[in-house]
Formats: sequence, structure tokens, C-alpha cells
Amino acid sequence: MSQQKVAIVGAGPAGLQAAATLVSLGVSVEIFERNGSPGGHLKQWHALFPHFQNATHALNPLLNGVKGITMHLGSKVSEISHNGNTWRLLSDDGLKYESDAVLLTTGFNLFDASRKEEYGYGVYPGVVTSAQLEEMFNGQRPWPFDKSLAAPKIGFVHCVGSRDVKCGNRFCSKVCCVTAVKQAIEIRKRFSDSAVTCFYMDLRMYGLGFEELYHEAQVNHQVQFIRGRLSEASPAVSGKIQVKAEDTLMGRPLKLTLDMLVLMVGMEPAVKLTAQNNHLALGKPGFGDGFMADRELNTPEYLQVTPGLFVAGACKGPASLPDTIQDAKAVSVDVYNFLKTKS
Amino acid sequence: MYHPFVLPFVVGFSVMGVVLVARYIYWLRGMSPGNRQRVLWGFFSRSTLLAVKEILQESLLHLKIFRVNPLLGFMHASLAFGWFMLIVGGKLETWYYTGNFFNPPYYAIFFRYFEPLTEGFWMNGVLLFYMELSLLIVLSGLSIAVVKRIRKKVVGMNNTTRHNPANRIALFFLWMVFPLRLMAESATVAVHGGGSFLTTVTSSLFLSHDWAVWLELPLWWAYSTGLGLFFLALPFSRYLHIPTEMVMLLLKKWGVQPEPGFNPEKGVQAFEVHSCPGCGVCLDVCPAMGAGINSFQSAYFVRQVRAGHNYETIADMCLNCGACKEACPVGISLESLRLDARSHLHRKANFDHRYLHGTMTLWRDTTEVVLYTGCMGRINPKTTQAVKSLLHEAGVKFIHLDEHESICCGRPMALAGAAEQAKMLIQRNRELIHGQNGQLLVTTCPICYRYFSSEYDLNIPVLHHSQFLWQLIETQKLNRHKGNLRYAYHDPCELGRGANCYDEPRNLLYTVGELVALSSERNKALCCGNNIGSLTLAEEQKQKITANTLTVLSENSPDYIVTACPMCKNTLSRQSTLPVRDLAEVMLECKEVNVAGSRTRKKQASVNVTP
Ligand SMILES: Cc1cc2nc3c(=O)[nH]c(=O)nc-3n(C[C@H](O)[C@H](O)[C@H](O)COP(=O)(O)OP(=O)(O)OC[C@H]3O[C@@H](n4cnc5c(N)ncnc54)[C@H](O)[C@@H]3O)c2cc1C
Ligand code: SF4
Ligand code: SF4
Ligand code: SF4
Repeated sequence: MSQQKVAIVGAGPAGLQAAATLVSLGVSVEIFERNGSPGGHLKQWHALFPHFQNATHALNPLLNGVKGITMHLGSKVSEISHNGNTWRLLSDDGLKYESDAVLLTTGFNLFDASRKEEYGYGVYPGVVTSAQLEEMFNGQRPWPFDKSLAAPKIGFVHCVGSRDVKCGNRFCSKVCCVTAVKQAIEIRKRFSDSAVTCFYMDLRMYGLGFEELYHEAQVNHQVQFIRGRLSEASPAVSGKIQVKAEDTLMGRPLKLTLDMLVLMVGMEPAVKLTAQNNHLALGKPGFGDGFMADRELNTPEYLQVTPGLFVAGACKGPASLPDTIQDAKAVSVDVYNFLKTKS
Repeated sequence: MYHPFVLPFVVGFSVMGVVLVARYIYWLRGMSPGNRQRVLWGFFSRSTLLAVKEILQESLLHLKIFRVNPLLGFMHASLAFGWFMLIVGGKLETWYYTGNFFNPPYYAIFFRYFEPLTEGFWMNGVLLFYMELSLLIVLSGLSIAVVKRIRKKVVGMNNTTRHNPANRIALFFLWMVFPLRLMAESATVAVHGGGSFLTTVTSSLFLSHDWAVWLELPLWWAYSTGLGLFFLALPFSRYLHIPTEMVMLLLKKWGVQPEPGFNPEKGVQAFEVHSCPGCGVCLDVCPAMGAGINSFQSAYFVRQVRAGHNYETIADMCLNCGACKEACPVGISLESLRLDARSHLHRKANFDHRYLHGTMTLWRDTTEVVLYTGCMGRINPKTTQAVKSLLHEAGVKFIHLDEHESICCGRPMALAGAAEQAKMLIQRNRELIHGQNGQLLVTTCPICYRYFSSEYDLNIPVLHHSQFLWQLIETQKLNRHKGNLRYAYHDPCELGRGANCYDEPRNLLYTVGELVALSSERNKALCCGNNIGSLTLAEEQKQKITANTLTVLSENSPDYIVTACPMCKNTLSRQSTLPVRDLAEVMLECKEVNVAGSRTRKKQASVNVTP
């Protein structure tokens, strides 16, 4: 048989892992990535939960795994279509590519925190997102407060844009609780006299080592965990931020003045698939649009009638890096089996 | 001049009369002393004449419905006014014929039976023609009503009210009465001759003289019975609205005020709830209809109040957007009625306002403007910042009263039916505002604005920030040039219908750019879907309403959607694909455009939209 071809859309951890796995199974792949460099969100992170592993140590093997594979950078795929056994892929920069199957690994977008104006993101410089905090750890972004400050006070708000009907996102983003715990510890390590408070609805320490990390944060690093949603953030003197919340466990209102407020932004799907005549458009998701359905669950019609389209990684829903890698491998085997039945 | 067949009518009519008078007297006696005084004063005043004019316009000609929907208006007008013409004509006929002004009422109604052959130009020519024309008008209205029941779209209505059994019985007799009158009169014409343009034609339906003789009396019996039963059912059905609406218009003209508390079987409220004809005008304007929710609209709410149960939950769901109140042809005070109905709901809630007196500073030095951004300002820090920057730019001296702490204006409490608690907030806030020594109160929140101006009785004037910014532009304390960005303006319910402020926001936008026209705006604007009025409408249902409103706002693909209410901005921006701004933000951003002297921001703006 002539070598069969698979197009992979998105060069995040899922796309990179799937490409390496498929190549090792003898399939030819090409990767399309809208950004100028591969790595997806992973390349923004500083250290990974729960073991503070350096993120580049996780990224490098993935990048090494795709050496020699054609990767189209700066190619945003906007349309795919299906004709007989052939898939056609079209990108914004005019690239066309034909393949036997398509694997979507388009991942997620971070929730745009300015959509919750009450938290003051984009209004008060001291209000930042969790992703921006990773960049501060990496030294790629200045701290919003004076680093010589003796005892900075820092707050974390969980579930920003997740578990929030008003934002159209009912789901839990799964990794932000443990990310907040990880980041809180990193802050405590970096600023020894700092005081860190996390405002949460409930803590979802689902993975191995997560609960232990949470325990460590309280016992060894004196991180305060307050159950209650933030009601508002307002400006206080000299760039500080005043937050109000209710401690629902103690049943009392709470007022704190902070030097930095970190919003744990959730995940939203990066693309929305819409069927149009004989093709599928990869568009911008609208309010309340969910993640792409898995093939087995709630199979959308187009996935049924058009075999050869696969999805893997965080584009199916919030996932951690290990989840994503496992899923990419598993789906690659599905792709391989599909190609085998066709030839 | 008498026949036993008139008895059913006489009995029905008399019972109705007694019941009506008894009910009205009971309601009137239940009025507050102030309102009773107003009725007494008003009775012999010019307002009574004005009310008569309005009764003619609204109860009989239904001009307001006519303006909203001509065909529906014609239906109501031809039924009511045609019937009125018949009554007047009957009076004239008997008066002219007998020479006495006072005759038994049945004599006029069954005149054709008693006097089949009238003579002379006036009697046989003009009056007879007039009577048959009136009957024809009623019948034409009736046929539209029948069609409306079967196919509502024909009269251009998307929604028509659903009726309960008592009403259906009354409706059935109402429909029967006029065709029966036509048939009875035609039979008499077939037997005795006479008749004008209508009955001479319809009398030929009786085929032979014998048939007509045989059918004449039974038809008059049927007509009298139908009429009698309708009158009998009237005080117990929604047709009570026919007489009550007229009384209501009188009361309104005499200046009666809404009465506190919820007493729908006493006083003004009784007149109000019983004057709703269930015309359904409020259904089509309700934003929730578009989202497929048809359980709580005013027509249903009022009906439920009359039924005496389940009205609280219905009242609690409504967004209180005011669209129905604006459209209601009878002018029922739907909002206050609804809020009163809510007062039963949240009684058990445990409100504790002891903290109020410790909060916030009282006396301060004299200042020009007291700025109040309210609770909603806290969820819109950008708006607050923009307003403050603009005030600085215009050199206005101001104090931000609730910069660090705030006390709610009280309207949300009132909307939840907790009027007493709202009063406590009002009292403390008034102390605070008076204590600032300002000359003018400016608020960024239409909810506060409306409440400050209607309930606070302040010693300084109050303006919404759009009005104040417009004053600053007019007095050239703020200067802006016209740009080429296109804006769609969303009228907040509380500012537009609630406080009648439509022009200043538009003037501001017109100053800095282009204002796009919308299919529903000003007093017909749709609610953003998140009016604080509704406490129980599900989030998903609100979001459907928001989506519909956004469709209208995006109609002519503007560059920005602009509004003047923190709540609207918050709600719309969460769901909109177009950027949503407060007026103040727009006015501030425009400054940058003009300072830079370029019009290139348009590009930038649309880049911001797709992050
Ligand atoms: C704040 C934060 C911290 C985190 N920290 C950790 C951690 O410490 N440990 C851990 O295990 N997990 C962590 N995660 C989770 C981790 O980032 C994800 O599991 C992982 O990034 C998912 O990989 P992915 O390839 O599915 O998606 P992504 O990383 O989002 O990659 C998707 C790629 O597809 C591209 N793409 C999208 N659409 C198109 C298109 N139309 N055409 C072309 N290309 C396209 C994107 O540009 C992107 O490069 C964290 C997540 C967040 C939000
Ligand atoms: S993981 Fe935690 S912070 Fe993130 S959405 Fe779920 S509960 Fe909220
Ligand atoms: S409330 Fe007003 S608009 Fe609604 S049905 Fe009654 S009279 Fe008509
Ligand atoms: S106030 Fe608005 S939401 Fe409530 S019933 Fe009237 S139109 Fe509908």
C-alpha cells in the first residue's frame, strides 16, 4: 500500500504527541499550526503541577518527537471538506492539503478575563491572569507590584469564567484548582513574607499528588483558603486592590487589600465546527458553545457520516498534560486502525 | 308594548345592574381616604368631561389599540362603538316614536318586534338605516373576532390570550347575541314587511312567509335569552371590563393614586384589575415572548390576580421592563400592581439593616457634583473610571460618594416587594446625599437615577450621567468632534421607559459619530434580559432574551453597541460578538481619536473584538 497521509490541526502537546505516534506506526503526517511556533499552551508555562517539573523539560521531548515532520507554522486552518475517501484542508494563508484522515488537536483558548469586568482585569494593573503569572515566573513579564515590597499580599480567584452560567460556561476547567495551589506555593517560595489567599467554590484535587500538594500549601506554606466567591474588586490607595468576599464557611463578610489579584481563567474551546453544505468550517466559538464532542459520546452527525475525522486533547474538554498525552496516543491508534480498514 | 319573551333580558339586565352597583360601591368604599377625596373633588370638575372624551376614544373607539394594530383596533372599535351606536339609536327611536324620553329599556332593544312598520322620513328612513348600519358594523367586528380566535395571525398578532371556562361561556353568548338580533329582526321583516338595506335582504332567507311566522317568536326569545345570559355572566367574567374600564378612565382623570399594599378586591386596585379586557397588546411587546416564555405576561398576571391565586410567582418572574405598561391601552399601573403582589413573597427573608447607620461619612465641604455609582457601578469599574476622567477633563468639582463603600439605592429591595426595607435604605442614603453639600447629584446607574428622582425627595436635582455629559457638551466644557464610527444605542428599560430619557444619550452619540437606526428602540426597545426586576427567571431564559435583543442591536452591523446602564452593559457584553461600551467610555475613547487627529481607531477596535 502507498503510504497514507494524516493532517493534524494544532501543534500543541496533543498534536505533537499524535504526530510522533502516527509516524512511529508508519503513517505520513503533516502538522498545521496557527501560531509561529509549536508547543501550544505548554510553552507558556513555567513549572508543572504537581511536581514543579520545568515545563520545557516536558515540551522538549514532544518537539524532538516531531523532528523531520513537515510543520506549517502560521497556518490557521479554517475549513475542511470531504470527498469520497479524500479529506481536503484549507488554511487562512491559502495552503491546501489532501489526506486520508484529519486529526483535530486545536486545544483551548483561555477565558477572556475582561468579560468579568467586576474583577477589574484590564482596569487595575494589579489584576492579572494565571497565565500571565506563569510568564512572571518565567521572567517574561514584570511584576505588577514593587518586588522589594516587604510582605506582598496576593489573592487568587478560582473559577473565573468556569462553572459560571452567566458566562455561558457551566463546566469545570479541571486544572485551575491545582494550578492555583501550585502557583500559591511558588509565590510563597519567591516572596518569603508574602501572604497568599485563595478564594474557591470547592477544591477539585482529582489527580494523584494533588491533594498532597494542597495539604503542603496549607501546612508548609501557610496559604489561606477561603471558601466563597469574590463579589467585587475595587481600587485602593497606591495601586492596591480591595476585594470583598463572603467566607461562606465562617459565615462572615471579608475585606482584604491586596497587591496582586490572580484570576484563575478557565478553558474555552478554541474552535467551533459548523457544517456548511459539503464542508466543515472551523470558526470562532460563540457564547455558550461547548467543546467538540468525542466520537463515542454524543456523536455529532458529521462525525458519523464522514469517517476519517478525529479529535484529541483539550479540544474535547479541559484536560491536564498527562491526560492530553494519553488521549493523543489512544486516538492515534484509532486513526491507524481506520486507515488500515481503508487500504 | 310587552311580551313575555323580554323577561330573560329584563332579569339578566337587572341582576347585572344590581351586582355591578354593589361591587362598585364596595370597591369605592375600600379606597384610601385620599383617593375618596379625589373622587369627590373630581366628580364635578372639568376632568369628568375630559374623561368622557377619553371614554369615547378608548372604551368605544379604542384609538390606542388602533394605533398599535389597526385591524385589532377596528375589531374592538366596531364591536364597542357599533353597540354604542345601537344603544343611542334605540333611545332616539323610542323617544321620537313615543314622544317620551323615558321608556322601559327592553322597549328600545326589541323595538322592531313591537313596531315592525314605522313611517315617515326620520323614523323609517334615517333611523332605520342608521340602526341597520350599526348592526352591520358590530357584525363585521364580530367576524374579525371569530377569525382571531381561530387564526390569530390574521389580525397581525403573534399571541392571543387563552381563556378560562367562565370567560368562554360569556364569549359564546356575546357572539350569539348579534347574529340572533339580525335573524329575529329579519323574521319580523319577512312577516310584516318594512326593514332597511340589511334586513330586506336577509329576510329572504326565510324562504316562505309561513316559515317566518313560525320562527319569528322563537328567534326573539332566543335573542332575549342570549342577551340576558350574557348580562348575567358579565359581572363574573372578563366582560366586567366593559363597564369597569369606563369607570377606570374616570378615576384616572380624577387623579386617584395607586394604593399601597395588595388588595385586588378593594379600592383602586379592584378597578384596575377588573378593567383589563385581556386585549393581549401586552403579550406582543413582552421580550420574554420571543424567548418562548408565555406564562407571566401582564394579561395572565392580571387574570390570575382576579382568580385570586398563583399570582405571586407569576409576578416574580417578570423582568419589570415596563414594555407592557407602556403599551397597555387601559393604562393599568401594572408595575406597582406587580410589586405589591410580590410583597407577599419575600416576607420571611431576614433583612438586617442595623449596619446602615455606621456606614460612610456624612458632612463634607461644598462641591459642585456628588457622583453616585451605586452597587452596579461596582461591577462596571470601566464606566466609573470613564465618568471620573470626563468630569476631570471638564473641570467639574466632584465628590465620589460611594467610592469605597456604598449603600444600595433601595430599588432592588422595592422590586423584590420589600418596600419597608427599601425605605430604610432611602432614609440613610438621603442623609448621606444631603450631607455632601453638593449642588447636583449625578449617577451612572439608571436604576438609582429613577429611584432618586421618584422616591427620594432630594433637596438637589439629580441627573443620569448621560444627561450631565450632554450638558457638558452643550456648555462646551467638553468638546468632541464627529467621527465616523457607527453606534447602536440600547435603551435601558429603567432609563427609557422608566425615566423617559431617550434623547441625551442619542445626542451624545450623534456628536461623536453615527447612530444606526434599529427596528425596536426608544419606548419600544427590548430589555437586555437581565433587568433586576426578575428574581426567578432562569438564567438560560434570560440569555435567550439577551440573544434576541442582541440580534436587534446588531441589525445594521454597528462598530459598537452602546448603552447607559451597568447592568445592561454587563449582560450584553457577556454574550455579544460586537464590543459593548457605556456612553461614558465612548465619550472618553473619542477624545483619544481626536487628539491623535486620525480616524484609524476603527481598525484597532475591530481587532480587539477577536482576541
Ligand atoms: C493556567 C494553566 C496552567 C496549566 N498548567 C498545567 C500543568 O502544570 N500541568 C499539566 O499537566 N497541565 C497544565 N495545564 C493544562 C495544559 O496546558 C493542557 O493540558 C494542554 O495544553 C493541552 O494541550 P492541547 O494540545 O490539547 O491544546 P493546546 O495546548 O491549546 O494546543 C492547541 C494548539 O492548536 C493550535 N490551533 C488551534 N486552532 C487552530 C487552527 N484553526 N489552525 C491551526 N492551529 C490551531 C493552537 O494554536 C495551539 O498551538 C495548564 C492549563 C492552564 C490553563
Ligand atoms: S478546577 Fe477548580 S478553579 Fe478550575 S473551574 Fe474547576 S473548581 Fe473552578
Ligand atoms: S394588561 Fe393592558 S395590554 Fe394587557 S391585556 Fe390587559 S388591558 Fe390589554
Ligand atoms: S414588564 Fe416586561 S417582562 Fe414583564 S410582563 Fe411586561 S413586557 Fe413582559
